[in-house]
Amino acid sequence: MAIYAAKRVLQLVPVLFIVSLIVFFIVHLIPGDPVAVILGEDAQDARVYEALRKELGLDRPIHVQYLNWLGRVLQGDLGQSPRSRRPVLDIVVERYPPTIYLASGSLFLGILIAIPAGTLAAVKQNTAYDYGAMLFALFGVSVPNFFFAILLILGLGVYLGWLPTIGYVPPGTDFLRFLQHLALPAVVLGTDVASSTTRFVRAEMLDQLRLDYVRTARAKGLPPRVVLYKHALRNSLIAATTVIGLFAGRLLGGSTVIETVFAWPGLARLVLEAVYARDYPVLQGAVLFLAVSYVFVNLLVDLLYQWLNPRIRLA
Amino acid sequence: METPLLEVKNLRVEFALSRGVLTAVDSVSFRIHEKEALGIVGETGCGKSVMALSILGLVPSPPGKVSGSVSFNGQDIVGMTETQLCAIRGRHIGMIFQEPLTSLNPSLTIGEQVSECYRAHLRESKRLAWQRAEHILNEVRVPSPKTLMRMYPHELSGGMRQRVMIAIALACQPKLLIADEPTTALDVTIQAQIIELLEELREKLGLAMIFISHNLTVVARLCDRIAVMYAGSLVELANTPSLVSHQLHPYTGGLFAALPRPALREGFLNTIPGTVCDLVHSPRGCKFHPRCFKRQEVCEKSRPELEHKASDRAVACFFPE
Amino acid sequence: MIQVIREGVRIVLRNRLAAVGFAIVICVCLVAVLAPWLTIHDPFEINLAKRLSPPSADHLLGTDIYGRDIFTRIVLGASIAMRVAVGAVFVAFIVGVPLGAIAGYKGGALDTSVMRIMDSLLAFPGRLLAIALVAAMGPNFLTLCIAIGINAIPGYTRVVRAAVLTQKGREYVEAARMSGNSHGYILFAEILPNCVAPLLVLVTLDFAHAILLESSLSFLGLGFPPPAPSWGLMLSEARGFLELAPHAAIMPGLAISITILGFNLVGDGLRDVFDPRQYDR
Repeated sequence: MAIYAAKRVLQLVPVLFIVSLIVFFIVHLIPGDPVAVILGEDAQDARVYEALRKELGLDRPIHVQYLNWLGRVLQGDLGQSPRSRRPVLDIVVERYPPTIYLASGSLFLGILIAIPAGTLAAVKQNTAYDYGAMLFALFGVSVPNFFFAILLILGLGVYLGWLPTIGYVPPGTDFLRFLQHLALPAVVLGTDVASSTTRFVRAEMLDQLRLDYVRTARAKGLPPRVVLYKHALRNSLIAATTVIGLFAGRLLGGSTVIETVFAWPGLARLVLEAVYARDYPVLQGAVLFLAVSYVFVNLLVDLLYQWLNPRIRLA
Repeated sequence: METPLLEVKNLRVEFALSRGVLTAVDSVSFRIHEKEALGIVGETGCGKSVMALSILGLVPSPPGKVSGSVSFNGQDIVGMTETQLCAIRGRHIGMIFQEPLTSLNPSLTIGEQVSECYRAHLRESKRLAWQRAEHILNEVRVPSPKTLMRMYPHELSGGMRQRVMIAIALACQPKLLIADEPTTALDVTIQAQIIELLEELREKLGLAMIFISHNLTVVARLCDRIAVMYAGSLVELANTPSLVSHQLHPYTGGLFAALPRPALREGFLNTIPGTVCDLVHSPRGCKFHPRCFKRQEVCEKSRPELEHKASDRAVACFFPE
Repeated sequence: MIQVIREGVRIVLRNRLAAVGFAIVICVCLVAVLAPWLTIHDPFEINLAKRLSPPSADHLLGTDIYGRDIFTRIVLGASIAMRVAVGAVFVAFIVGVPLGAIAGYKGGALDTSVMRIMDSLLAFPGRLLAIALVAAMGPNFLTLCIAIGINAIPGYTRVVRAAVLTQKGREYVEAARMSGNSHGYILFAEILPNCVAPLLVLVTLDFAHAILLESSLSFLGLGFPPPAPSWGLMLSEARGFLELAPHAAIMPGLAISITILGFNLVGDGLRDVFDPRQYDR
């Protein structure tokens, strides 16, 4: 296990390298001259132009630029936003918590629905309950989450007026209002998680129930409840960590669409704001942050899966 | 005559498949008395395992359908509720399976899997159950049970796993043990050890046993009586010594002729021509007739019943030897 | 008996769902191809007098904030969605399949490096990559196809590589090699036809993904610029007037959902048929 973990961490190096390459070069794909964008009107003055070009290091070869950039990033310097004149790192760190809250809320909600729903669907295979759960999952997979979000805003927010439809209140300020604001976006993203996970848990549970060890457990005379929940469910859930982990990564990678619809001031919306404002250092910083958290969550989930699975843990 | 421990009467197991109804077990009847060992032999796919599962009410339903009666200590198992079955499985009838790796839960420790038998049936505390599990593991001769109980199935060798399976089956001191090809997946040397262990435990605990195998030699060594099964039906039932000395049914004869014999080193093995018939569309008349060298017209028309030919010897054939 | 009936119901329901999905897909394709002949209104004609009017005989699905006919725009939107989806799946297919085939066939260092690159691609959050690419290269047809398709490449590489690895040792491949055929010929004429089934499932499900991603991007204002009648953009434009005219948001939303549902149903159905292990899924 320790060797596996070390190996897996070592594998991060090339992945993070490619991530950094993508983040760096995305900005360089942009047609047009970043110096001119920053200077705007002042771009006419050739002396100022050259000075800034030199200051940004844009006069040097591209690989040198990349290495310089990488060196600064590794020291925690993501540059400065030419718009707000603030360090990018500060902006990004400020916008990170809302994304984390939304991701954990949705994941929690999704798992809370999916595990019992998927298990029951498998246990009551081919009953009305099973068909209902599968229908729910099918619609969850097919209805785009931004449309679902709009339907919820329309129904719960606009017509019934139960919940605030947009905005964000930090949990430290007023926890109850924080939860109220979190509710709708978390339900939307939680439904995404729940629909795929329900299908997976059901399929996995049905597979497990066909295995020999379940027959042994029944031959021992264990009550059906114990066979299902202690034996089969345990193994199904170990397998389900992979799917749940996939979503954990995806959610922490940010949902730009949902953060936009609900005016949730997270990192993923910052990406979009930076795109609109042509604020490329912020775009780079935010994308880098999201991508790196995605990579790390995937690593954690992978290690968790290995650890839960004794066959691999002890190898 | 005393009442038998287990009496199977006209047992029939059918599976509804898309291409028709598969009859896996076809009117099988036999009895087992206390402390008696019955061997059941036959080719792969002849319904031995399904029959064993039906004794514990473990035939998956749907698509399976069980009819006839299986009475254990006078109670009919067919038609029992799941709760009633749970009180018998593992408590009064233990079972071990062919594949010792997949038969154990990969994510639970050995100790957990053995001790949960005591907790389910005898409602014992976690600690007491754990101690008793250690004791029974000692009985099946695993080295250092204490350490082994903290291990997971994949850390054990095949022979060890099968010993654990035996410990699980015998944990609550059942009257009857059903062993479904328990040595088939093991190396020859390990096979011998497991057989020895079963022999010894049977003696010690006074177990009755149903031993299912396609290996005639093993069955003959371990069992008092042998039933030969073909395509879901019993074709011959006899005491071990008399069956070994001469076989009445041509299929049984074929099985014995097919045994590799060290005395004859010609390099040829006798085989029975053909394969087991299709269990969905089994042939009219005797199911064995397409492969039988003695078949006559009558064999193609009507099906022979299992009839007693001598005391405690029965055969289902129109032309027994 | 009840069990038998229930099993029958299940199989019929399964196939019927797939059939419904197939019908939806065919309809969407027909609408996309025949779009210019299906509509009477001009999709770009602004009529402020008739803005946000509810469904009526003249405007089947009502009008939007500029008084444009929503039905006409949804019909045209189908062709946008399908064109981008076809383009994106094409990009993924044309890059992923040869990479997977060659990696599986040649093995060794080439295989390792191809699969490592695919892993790295998967290690980058897909939607973020699409957003960043579109933001960087501007919203045109080619960019959208690449940005959406790039996420799907690893899927094709993996499926084809796995299929090639299992087929490589088979007798008929050996036979083809004995008879002096070139590697390229063996790969494309003998091996690849055998992974049609998993590829078909993948293509169908990727159509659903591509349509979803295209509508997400255009919802964010990163797809085709207005006044293009892209479904996501229509939904986004209607967002400000939910109380006044919910139909302007609901209609394009339904169009997206039904289309994606159709592809998902067909994909699930195909998987049931091709992959017996997943019989119950």
